[in-house]
Amino acid sequence: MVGEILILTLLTTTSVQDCGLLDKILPGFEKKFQCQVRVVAVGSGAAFRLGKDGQGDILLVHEPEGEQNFIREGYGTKRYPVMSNEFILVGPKEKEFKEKSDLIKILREICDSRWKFVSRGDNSGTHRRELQLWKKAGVKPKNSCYLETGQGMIETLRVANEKGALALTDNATFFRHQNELQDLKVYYARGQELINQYSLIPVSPERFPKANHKLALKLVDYFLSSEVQNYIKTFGSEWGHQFFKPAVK
Amino acid sequence: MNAYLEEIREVLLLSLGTCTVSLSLVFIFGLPLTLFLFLKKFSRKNLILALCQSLLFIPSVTLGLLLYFLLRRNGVLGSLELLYTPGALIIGQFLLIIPLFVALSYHLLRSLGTEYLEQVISLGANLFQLGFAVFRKCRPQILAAVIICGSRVLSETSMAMILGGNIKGQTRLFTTAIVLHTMRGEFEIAVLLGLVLFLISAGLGFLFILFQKDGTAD
Repeated sequence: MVGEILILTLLTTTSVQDCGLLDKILPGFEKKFQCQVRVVAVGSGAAFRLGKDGQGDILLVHEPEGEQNFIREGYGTKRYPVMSNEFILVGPKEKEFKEKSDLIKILREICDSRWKFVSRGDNSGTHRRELQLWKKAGVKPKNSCYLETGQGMIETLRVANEKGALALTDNATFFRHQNELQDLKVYYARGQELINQYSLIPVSPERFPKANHKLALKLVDYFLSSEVQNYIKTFGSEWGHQFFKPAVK
Repeated sequence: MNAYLEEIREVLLLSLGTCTVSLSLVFIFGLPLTLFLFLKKFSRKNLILALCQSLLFIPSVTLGLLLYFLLRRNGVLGSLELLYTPGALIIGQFLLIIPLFVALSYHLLRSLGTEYLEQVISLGANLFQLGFAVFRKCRPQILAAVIICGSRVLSETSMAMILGGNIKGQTRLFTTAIVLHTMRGEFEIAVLLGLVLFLISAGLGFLFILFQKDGTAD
């Protein structure tokens, strides 16, 4: 095996890629285990689909329901929570809501006042969460006020910024790119209902014998090591925010 | 299945709609512009012609990026609020194909010769009227040029993504919808959309051959 380099394919969501976290964490892993991590950043929905097709070794996703299904159907082995952050509601600076502290009421007001809302519309974890929230609020914006981009988080935020519209985003992507999203501000944050849990799921070695299960487990250990967990805690300070909470206290 | 048909209908209307508008604009302004370049004598004409020729090969993604900076909110044309609207798509498409159309019709005028043009000018025609006269004389060739432009517009992806933002029902075209569904892992609808786009392109190709035949028969 001289000269052959091990490759680990990580199927992940756009948010961890867009905020720059993986670029900071993965080189250390690659160096330590003499391997190369190929990151495929797509929405969580697509990550599950690619995982089911055997296109990857391990998933880093944030959609609890989909994760449970993925494991129950035998595609993944186990869910390892590695970190969490939160979703926030952002929108144009001039908007004021009557009830600022109740997300459900805010959502209803968005519909009633026909304020524009930009949705990921791409089956990602963020998109699924947004749909759950509309369901909880029992309303959904009219088609003409509801823009589906079908793209990643940062592209969607750019559309919101241009169109003067609201959007649900993870805090990391938003604060990381705030300098180019100058027309947007945070309306709602720190809600219990908006916690966003990221987990690693190695694909099942029984189902996909070619998957590199050993290396996938090493990546889990690496993410949960105190070195990386401490780094996750400090990540974002450059932009004046803590983006993620590590899973191991 | 109904959801698929609904999506195909939406994408079809938007793709053909924006394409029709940009082709019409190219058709209306392209011929007078070509005639202007062809007939008028001005200094550095060859340089300007060479510049137009090089625009033929502009990658659509570069053009898209350039327009993005112009059209976004804090860009020079930001006050028009055109980014992520069909208007932005039409501007991009127009600028993408106008050099192509001008190059093709310039070539045509050259083979037509100045004699006919001078005849029409002597009747007091302006550039637009002259353009119409040229169209009547060389209809198949010009329609063939329009079709070439149309196929470039229909198959363009990256600029449509940058300028349109791929918003469902507003700026989602065939190409961007296919990319999206492939990324999402929804291959069935992606293949369906790809098939419809292929049929349209094949139809255009067929028309092109038809016009070319007409052109050579004249």
